[in-house]
Amino acid sequence: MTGFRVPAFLQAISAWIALAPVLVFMLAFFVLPAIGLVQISFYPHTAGTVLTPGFTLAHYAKVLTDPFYLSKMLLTLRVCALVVFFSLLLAYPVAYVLVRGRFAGKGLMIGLLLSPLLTNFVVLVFSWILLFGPGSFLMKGLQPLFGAGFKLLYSESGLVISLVHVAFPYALIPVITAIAQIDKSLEEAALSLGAGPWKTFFLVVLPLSVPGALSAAFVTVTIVLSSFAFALYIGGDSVLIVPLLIWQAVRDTLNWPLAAALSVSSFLVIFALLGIGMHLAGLTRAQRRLA
Amino acid sequence: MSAIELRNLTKSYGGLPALQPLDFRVEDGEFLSILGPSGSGKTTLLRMIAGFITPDAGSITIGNQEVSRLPPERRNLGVVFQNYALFPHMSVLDNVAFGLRMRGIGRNERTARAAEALDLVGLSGFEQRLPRQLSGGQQQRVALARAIVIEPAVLLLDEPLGALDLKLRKRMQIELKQLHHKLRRTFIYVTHDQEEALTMSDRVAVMDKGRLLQVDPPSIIYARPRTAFVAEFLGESNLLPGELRQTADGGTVFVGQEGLVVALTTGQGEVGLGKAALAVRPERLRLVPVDAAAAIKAVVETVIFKGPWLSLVAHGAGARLEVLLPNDGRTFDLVPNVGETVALGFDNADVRVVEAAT
Repeated sequence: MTGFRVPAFLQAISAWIALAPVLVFMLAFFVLPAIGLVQISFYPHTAGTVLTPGFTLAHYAKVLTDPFYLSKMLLTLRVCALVVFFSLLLAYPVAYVLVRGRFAGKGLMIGLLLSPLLTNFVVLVFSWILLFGPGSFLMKGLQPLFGAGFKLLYSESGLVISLVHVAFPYALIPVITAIAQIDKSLEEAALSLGAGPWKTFFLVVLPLSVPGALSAAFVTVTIVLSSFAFALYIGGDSVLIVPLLIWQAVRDTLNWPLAAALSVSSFLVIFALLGIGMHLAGLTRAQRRLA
Repeated sequence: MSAIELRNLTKSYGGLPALQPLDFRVEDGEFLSILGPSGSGKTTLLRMIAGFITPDAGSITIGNQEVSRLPPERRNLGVVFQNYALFPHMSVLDNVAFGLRMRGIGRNERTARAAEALDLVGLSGFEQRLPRQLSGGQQQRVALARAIVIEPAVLLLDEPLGALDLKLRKRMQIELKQLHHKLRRTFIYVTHDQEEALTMSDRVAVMDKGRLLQVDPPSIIYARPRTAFVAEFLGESNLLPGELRQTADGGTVFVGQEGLVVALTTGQGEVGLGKAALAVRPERLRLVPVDAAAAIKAVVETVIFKGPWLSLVAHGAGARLEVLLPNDGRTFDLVPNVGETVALGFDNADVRVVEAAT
C-alpha cells in the first residue's frame, strides 16, 4: 500500500500555512495599530480637535524632559521594580518548598496559590478597595499602629500590595520551573562542602534560577502596566503611573498624540531595561562559556 | 582519629525498612566498599553518613564525635556524587575552592590550595574552564579535587565511576586507589560493581535488602562467603543443593544429590544441620579421571573458549555448574565434547556451606 504523499511544494509552505492565521491576526490587530500609534505620537496637538496630521517631536520632548512626566515615569519604574521584587521575594520560598518538599496536599496547595489566576480582575479590585477602604477591619487594625493618617487606598504601598497579589501566581510558575531544573545533588554538594542552607540558596539555587526570575520579572512588569483597573481604583490620582496618565490624556485632555507618545516611550524604556537585564544574564553566561 | 562507628542504625520509609539495624566500624584510613544491588540500602547508608538522610534510630560516630543529628555542612565530609554535581555556573577553580571559601579561607590561599588539588588529580591548566567544557572523566576528577581539598575526615563516594566507559573506569579505579594511598584518609565507596569493590577495597561490605551481610577483606569475602547471596554476588558461584548431616563420629558431612558426599571441617559455614547448599567457585572445579571418588558426575552442555580460560557449563548433582579451566597448555588436552559425562573434582577446603536457596 502506498501512503498519501504530501506534494513537495505543500511541504515547503506547510510551516507558513500553520502560522498564517495568527500572523494575519497579529498584523491586522496589533502591528498595524501599533504603527498607527507611533504615527499619532508625532501629530501636533490642537485644542478642540482630536487628531491633526502633522509631525512634531514636542510630545516626546515633553514626556522625556518635563519634570512632571519624568517623575511619573520614575514612579512607574519604581512601582514595577517593587512589585517584581516582592513577587520574587514571595515566590522563591514557596516555589522551593513546592519543588523540594514532600508533604500531603501539595497539589491542593498549588491550586490554592494559583487561584487568583482564575479570579476576575474587577472582583479582585473591588475586594482590595473594600479591604483598604476606611472602616475595614484591616485599616481598623493597622491605624492604631501607624497613626490615623495611615492609608493604603490611594497610596503607592496599597497599589504595590494589591499588584503583588495579582502578579504572584504569574511570577511563581517560572520560578517553580527554574528551581525544578536544578539538580538536587548540587545543593547536597554545597551542603557537604560546608555551605549552610542560606549560602547554598544564594550561591547555587539563586544564580542557577536567574533565567526563571527574569521571565517572572517580564510577566510581572507586563501585569503592572496592563492592570489598569488597579491603577485607577487603588492608586488613583495619588499614584499617577503611566497607564493612568495615558488614560487622562485620552479621556480628560483629549491629547491623543501625547497619550501615544507616553505609551511608546514607556514601552521602550521598560522593555529596554528588561532587555538589558536579560542580555547581562545571558552575557555573563556567554563570557563564562568563552573563558 | 577518623574511624567511623555505626551503631544500631535504622531507617524505614512508610513502614518499609530501608535499613535494618546495622552495626559496623570503618577503620581510620581504610578503603571500604559498600557493595550491593540497587535497593540494597547502600546509598541510603552513605547518604545517612553524609547527613542527607536522618536515621530513625542509632548513632554515627566519626572520630570521637557523634554526628547523626548534625546537619551535613557541619560534618566535614567530602562527598563525590555519581553525576559529579559540579556547579555549572562556576569555573573549575571556583568549584574546587568552594569548600575553602565556605571555611572563610582568603582568596589567595584558596586559589593556591585548589590549584594544588587540581594538580593532584592531573587537571592543572583547566582552572578557568566551565564544567560542561570537560569530559566525564575530567568532571569526575574535578569532583574528587573539590571533595579532597577541604581535607575531610572521610571521603564518601557514591558510585563515582558509574557513568564512565569501561576503559576510563579501569584507569580511574587505579587512580582512586593511588589517591587513597597518597592521602591516607578513610574512603567509603558505594558500588554495585563487584569487580570494582574487589579491586579497590581494603574491606568490602555486602548489603542486600537493607541488611549488612558480611564485611571482610576482598580475598576472604571471595573465598569464604557467609551466605548464598554473597557467594553469588561476588564472582560466580556454583550452588549445589543438599543437606548438612552429623556423622556417627561427630563430624559434619554435606550430602548432595546423585551420591555426592563431602566431609567438612569446622569453619566452612555458619548454617545448622538440615537443608543447605554447597558453594564452590567455577575456577576451583577441575576435571578429574571419571573413576575418582568424591567427584561430581556431570553432563557437559556448553564449551566456550575465552582466551586465558575455557568455560564449561555442565549439569550434575542437581545443579547447573560452571567450570573455568585455565589455558595452561595441559588442561585443554582433556577438553570434553558436548554431551559427554565428566567428573569434576575439588578440594574439600575450597567449598563453603551456605543456607539453601529458597
